[in-house]
Amino acid sequence: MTAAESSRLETTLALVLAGEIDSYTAPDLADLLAKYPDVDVVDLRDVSFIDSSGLRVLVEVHQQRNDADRTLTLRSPSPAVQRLLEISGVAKHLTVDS
Amino acid sequence: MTPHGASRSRAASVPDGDRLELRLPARPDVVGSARRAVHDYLTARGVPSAVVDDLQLVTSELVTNGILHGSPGAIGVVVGIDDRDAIELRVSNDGPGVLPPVSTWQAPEDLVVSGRGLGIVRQLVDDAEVVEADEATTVVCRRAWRRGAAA
Repeated sequence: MTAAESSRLETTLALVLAGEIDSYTAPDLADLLAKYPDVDVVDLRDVSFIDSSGLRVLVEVHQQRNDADRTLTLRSPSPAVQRLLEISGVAKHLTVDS
Repeated sequence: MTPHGASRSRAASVPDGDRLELRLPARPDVVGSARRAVHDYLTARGVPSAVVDDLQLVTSELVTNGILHGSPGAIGVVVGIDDRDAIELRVSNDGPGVLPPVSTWQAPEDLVVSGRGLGIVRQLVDDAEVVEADEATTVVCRRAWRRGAAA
């Protein structure tokens, strides 16, 4: 790596989630993502449960980031997240980094 | 799907004593309790974890739907395993139904944000129907599961 290349430092802000995302906790997730608009990555490896209420928040934030010419990456989806992404048919529309 | 009326009515006999019956206040904080109760009931009866996980997701979607769209009051959850090893899950809410017919529950193909939950339910069960009776709306779901078979 040359000095010229390394002088440009890029940072990625990741939000690491753990636990259950449902209609009770999804509003908290929406608040968190609104509070930290620079989050580019949501790490989902420790999400033990998610339903459509949680998926709805992720889709909405994905669309907001898209509108701002940015990308929200869903990183390391847990089996529960993977299952919902598959059956809901939205996986192909989102940016998922397994 | 189980298109044959005869097999469906036969399959509907869940032993009364072995059902799980919950009645919960229609508040968002009960959704997790309903999921855990369904998880514990099915796991204790040897249902494979992949099937248990799917039924937890169905429970979550239907209870949430009942809370959001039913009248203030109670949510009922009844789960049992019938004599043909199918899991039957019933989720009811007080008040007249606001659910569309099951045949219109679509899994969205694009990024439509609302109305996703019922399409998800339909993907996870073999059979679902909406029953409106006694001033309550009940969604009755069945998911086949054979004892000893791989999930």
